[in-house]
Amino acid sequence: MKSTQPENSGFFETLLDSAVDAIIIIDQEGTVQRFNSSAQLMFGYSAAEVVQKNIRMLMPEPARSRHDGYLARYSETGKAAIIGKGRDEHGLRKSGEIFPMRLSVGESRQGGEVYYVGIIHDLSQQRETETKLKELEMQLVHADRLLTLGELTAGIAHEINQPLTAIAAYADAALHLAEKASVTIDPAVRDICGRIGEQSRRAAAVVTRLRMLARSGSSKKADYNMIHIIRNVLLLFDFEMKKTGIAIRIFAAADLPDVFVDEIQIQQILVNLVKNSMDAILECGQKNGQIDIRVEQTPGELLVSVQDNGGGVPLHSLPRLFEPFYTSKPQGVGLGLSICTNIANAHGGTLICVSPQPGATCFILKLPLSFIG
Amino acid sequence: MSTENQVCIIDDDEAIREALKLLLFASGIPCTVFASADQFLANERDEGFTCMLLDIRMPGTDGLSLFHKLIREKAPYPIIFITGHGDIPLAVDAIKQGAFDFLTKPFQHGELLGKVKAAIGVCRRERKKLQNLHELKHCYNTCTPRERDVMKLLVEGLPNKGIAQTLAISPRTVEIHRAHVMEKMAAESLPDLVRMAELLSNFPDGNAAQTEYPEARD
Amino acid sequence: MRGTSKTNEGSAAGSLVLIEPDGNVLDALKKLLQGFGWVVESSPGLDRLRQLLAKQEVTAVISEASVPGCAAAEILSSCSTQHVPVIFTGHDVSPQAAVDLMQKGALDFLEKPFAHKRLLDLLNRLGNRHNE
Repeated sequence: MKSTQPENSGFFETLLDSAVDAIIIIDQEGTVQRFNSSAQLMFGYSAAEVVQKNIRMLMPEPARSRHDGYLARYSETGKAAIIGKGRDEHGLRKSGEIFPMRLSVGESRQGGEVYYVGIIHDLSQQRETETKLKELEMQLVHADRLLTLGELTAGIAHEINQPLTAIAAYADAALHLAEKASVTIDPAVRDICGRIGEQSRRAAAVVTRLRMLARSGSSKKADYNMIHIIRNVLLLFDFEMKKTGIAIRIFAAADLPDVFVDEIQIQQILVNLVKNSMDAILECGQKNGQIDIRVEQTPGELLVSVQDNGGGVPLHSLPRLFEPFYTSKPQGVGLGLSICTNIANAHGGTLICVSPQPGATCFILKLPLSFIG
Repeated sequence: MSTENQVCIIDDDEAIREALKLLLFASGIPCTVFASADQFLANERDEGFTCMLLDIRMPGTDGLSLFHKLIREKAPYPIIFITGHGDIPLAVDAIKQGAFDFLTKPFQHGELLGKVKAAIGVCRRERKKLQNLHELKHCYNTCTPRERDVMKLLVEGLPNKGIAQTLAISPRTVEIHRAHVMEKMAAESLPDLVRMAELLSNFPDGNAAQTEYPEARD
Repeated sequence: MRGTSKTNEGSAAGSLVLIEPDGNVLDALKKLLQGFGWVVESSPGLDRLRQLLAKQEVTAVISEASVPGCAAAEILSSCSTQHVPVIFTGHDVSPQAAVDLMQKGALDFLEKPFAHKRLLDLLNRLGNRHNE
């Protein structure tokens, strides 16, 4: 190659070295001809250590042993595994670290010689982000389950304790009435009446314990930066934002103080609010979907508002929004907002909904800046 | 270090302990902290505290046991429970047994400060009352038996002449006794003396330490 | 003796006002207390409660602590001005709220479902105090 176009060589080298991705050029036997600066950074070898050596040294097993075979088969049969297309592979750094990469290979013929040009994009950063995101999602799902359980049991406790109270009272009343009517009561019947009351109180205690258990779901509070929490949450919506074309903007004052919160729980509130906004925008057919997240500080409080142009909430349903089991979505359970409210309360804060203008909905999370617990 | 006028904080969670201490300190309220009820009990008992903030769930002796012990011993300061796991019966019982208040975590600074200040106020008023009573007792004890007789009749509203007749002494002697009584009791006027006599008769044994907080019920 | 009793209980232990939004709980408690000789009136809200308190001597008011549209604190203050003790029942309130009611002068707070003996003992003590 050098021999065929010596006059362009300087320009060509500069071009190669300015590329962000690693570019490696090999010949038909797999011998490295060019190893640009990005490749040197990515693999940890200098050009001198790699050029004129076989490309295998940059591959972990099993690709390392198979590569010669690939090249030979391609030259003979023209059947390409990678050449002409791209795929995700693994690379081997000088340090011995194996990393994920996207590899695309092109073919170039220069005066009877065949060269292969590989362009490599390091995926480790991206994979790391993806893993982190997956972890975050899993944490959120787990926390969500715990809270949903807590919310369900709280709801159940309320619905069940009332009839249990009535059952116990009826049993006691029946026993007493029979006694007063001078009916001779079989001791077994007296025993049974006593047990009815006892057992209904036992049932109530079970529900109470379950509720306590769900509530004690480990809450880990520390000082967090709210903007950081919001950015993390928006990562989860990256795909949906692209798919739906909904724009999310963050407005925040400078120098916001940290808040003492359980990060996962606050993320849960925000995920719920953003998800609600997206659903509302999609449902009302709004073409220019827009969600604005604002963070402001008032004396003693940090306000986070999530506002959308998704048609607004009918005035009559505003007061019911935060009730458990209330939902406007056909597939919803109606626990999201009531869980959010409970989280806000557990942080000494509140969650409210306002209609700033027709067609818009705004949820405001207020968190106290001075708070113990 | 004297714990006079300090708030006593007992909580096994260091973060909470420090946060409470800082918060109260910022409001000019000095504190002494203990990491457990046992640590508190291991120290020489100090009755100078103006208020106690007590966690319920603690390793070793728990907050409720310590509370019962202090109530039995008539600890001369209000006790406020702070707990992360308060249920209704627990809270209600604590109040019925004489806890000053019951706070469930999380709580806001203002809420806590308000309650602590109220408790300190109650504690100070009760102490002042008690101290006055002690002083009054002391003054009364310096009076001679005859002077006490005169005082008794005086506060009943008898004029000098009537007192002289009742005690079969001369009005001039009554005059002298009366002057002594007023001086020894440091009373400025007859109504003042009447008020003092009333206080003394309300606490015949001088033991006003069983401080009854208005909130306490049996 | 108080209690212009229209029941066939003979001598009434005293008269009570029940505030309980759940019909079944109300009915069960009513039957229980009537069985023990109490004259029981129920009151759906504050207005009726005030009427009852003004009209007749009431030994105690037993009220659910979270009655929609009827603040527990108001029930308590209405009764306090008439020197009528209030026993709250409930489970759907925070410990803090229960403590608040106790500090404002409630006689007791029974978490539902409660042991009836506790309620009956409390009422008996009140009844005795009344009859002295």
